[in-house]
Amino acid sequence: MSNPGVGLDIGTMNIVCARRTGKDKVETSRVRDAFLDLEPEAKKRLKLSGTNFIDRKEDGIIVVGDAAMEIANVFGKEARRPLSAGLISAGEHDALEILGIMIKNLLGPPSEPGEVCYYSVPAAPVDDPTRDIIYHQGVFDRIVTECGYTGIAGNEAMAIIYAECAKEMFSGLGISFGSGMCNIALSINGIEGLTFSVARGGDWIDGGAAKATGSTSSRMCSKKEQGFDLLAPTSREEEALALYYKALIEYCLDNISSQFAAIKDRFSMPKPIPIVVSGGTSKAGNFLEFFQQTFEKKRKRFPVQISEIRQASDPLNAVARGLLIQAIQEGED
Amino acid sequence: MIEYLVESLHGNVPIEDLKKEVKAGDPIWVTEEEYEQSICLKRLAQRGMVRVSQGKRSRMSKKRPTAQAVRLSRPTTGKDVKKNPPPTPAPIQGIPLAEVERMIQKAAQEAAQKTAEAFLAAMPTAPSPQPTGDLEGRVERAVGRAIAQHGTPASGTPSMGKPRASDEPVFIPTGLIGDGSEDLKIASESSDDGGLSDAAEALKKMKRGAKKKT
Repeated sequence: MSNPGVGLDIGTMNIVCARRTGKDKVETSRVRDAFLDLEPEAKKRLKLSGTNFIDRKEDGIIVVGDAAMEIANVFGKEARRPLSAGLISAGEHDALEILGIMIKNLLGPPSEPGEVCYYSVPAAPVDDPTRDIIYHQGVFDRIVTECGYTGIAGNEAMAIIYAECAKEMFSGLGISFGSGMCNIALSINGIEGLTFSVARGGDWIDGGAAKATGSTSSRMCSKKEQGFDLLAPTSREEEALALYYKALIEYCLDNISSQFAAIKDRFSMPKPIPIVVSGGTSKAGNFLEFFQQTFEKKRKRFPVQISEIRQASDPLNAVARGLLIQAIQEGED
Repeated sequence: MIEYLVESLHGNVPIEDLKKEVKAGDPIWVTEEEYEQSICLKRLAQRGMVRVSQGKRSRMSKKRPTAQAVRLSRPTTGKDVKKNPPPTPAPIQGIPLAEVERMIQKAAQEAAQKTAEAFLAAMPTAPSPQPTGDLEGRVERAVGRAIAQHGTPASGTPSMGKPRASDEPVFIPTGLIGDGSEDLKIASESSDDGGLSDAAEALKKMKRGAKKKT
C-alpha cells in the first residue's frame, strides 16, 4: 500500500477501525466498548466458547467486547464501560488498561513505522462545561503512539462531513448521534465553522425512557437495538423511546441555532448545505423521516439554509471512514 | 493639688505600673505625680484606651442611681411589649466616635502584629534534619489540596471538574497498551468503497488550494 493510513472512531458504545486494503476497498473492524469482571473459574468455559477475555490470574478475568454485554444481560449484571458520556469514564479505574488492549488489537501493528492514525475526539460539550476533553485526547494520543502510529486527533462530526460530503466540497452540517453525546460540526469547504457537542445521546434516551416506563436502561437499549419504528411505536416502551428521540433531536437543533447565533456575523453561507445524520443512535427505524419531520417544524427559525437531509451510508462506520480519508490525505501529502 | 480623671474607653483597662484598673463607667482619679511617672497610663491614653482629663475631685459623693425593679406581666411576649430602638453608643466628649474606633483598630492591629512576631521568634527556624517517611504522601496530599482548590478533583478523575486551560499540564500515564500478551479476536469485514479515493483526492486538492491561497 503506497499510502497507508488508519481511521479510528472511539465511541462510548463501539470502537471502530477503518483501513484501506485496496484501491477502493475498506476493511472495518469493530469492538464493543464494554467489559465485565468474572471469577477465574469461568476461564475454561470462555476458552471453549472462544470468548474474548483478559486473564488477570488470581484477580479474575475480564471479558471484553460484545461478549461482555451478552453475559451481563444473561446474568442480570451491568457491563462496565470505559467511556461515559463520550469521554473517558472517571470512575472506571481499569478503563485505560482495557482501552489500550482493545485499541492495540483493533489497530494491529502499523504497516510502516509511524503510519498515520486519525482518531476521533468529541468537541467540548456546550451543556456541561465540567467535562474535560484534553485529558481524553491525551490518553488516546498516548495509546495510538504506543501502538507505533503517528496519532492525529480529528473531530468526530467533521469526520462525517469528510465521509459523506465530498460532492459538496466538504460543506455540510454533520450530526453524529452517538451513545454518550451528540457531536455537531458545520463545515464550509472543509473549514470548520462551528463544532460542539451536547452531553446527551443514546444513553440519555435509554435512561429517560426507562424512568418513564419503570423499566431498565439496558432493556431500553436492547429494545432500541432490536429495531423499532420511530414513526409507528407499538408499545408504551417504544412510545417513550420515540418521545425521547424527538426531545433529543429538538435539543440538538435548538443548540445549533443558539451556537450559530454567536458566529453568524463572521460566517457567510454562500449556498444551502446538507444535513448528514449518522451514529449508532440514528440506526432506529425511520430515523431519517422522524428527523425530517422534527426539523420541518423548526425550519422557519433555523438559521442555516438547508438543501437536504440525508443519512450516512453506513452510520456505524461513517466516522471511521471520514477519519481514514483524512489519514490517506495526510499520508499522500 | 492637681489630679487627673482617668476614664476607660474600652472595657476594663489595667494600668500595670500603678497597680490600678479603670473599669468601664467607673473613672478613677490619679495624682499628678502618678500621672507623670506612669508610662502605661500615657501609652493607654495615646492608644485611646483611656481618656485622661485634668480637674479637681469633688468632695461630694455622687449618689448612684438605684435600679428600679419593674414588674411586667409578660415582659417578653404579647402586644404590650414596648419595642425600644437599639441603644446608640453614648457620644464621647472631646474625641469623635470614628476617631475612637480607628484608634481601637490600630491598637488591635499593633497587638496582633506583636503577638505574631513573638510567636514567629519562638518557632524553630532550622529545617528538619531528615525527611519523614511519609514525605511522598504529604506531597501527594498537598498537591491534591491545591488541585482541589482550583476545582479539579485530586483523585485522578481528570474528565470531571473544571475544564483545563490549554496551557495547563495534563498527566497521562505510560504503558497503556499492556505487555502484548492479550490477544483478542476482532471480527473484520471488507467492503467496496468507490468514493474513498475520490474523497481523499478531493480533500487533497482542496487543501492544496487553500495552501496556495495563503
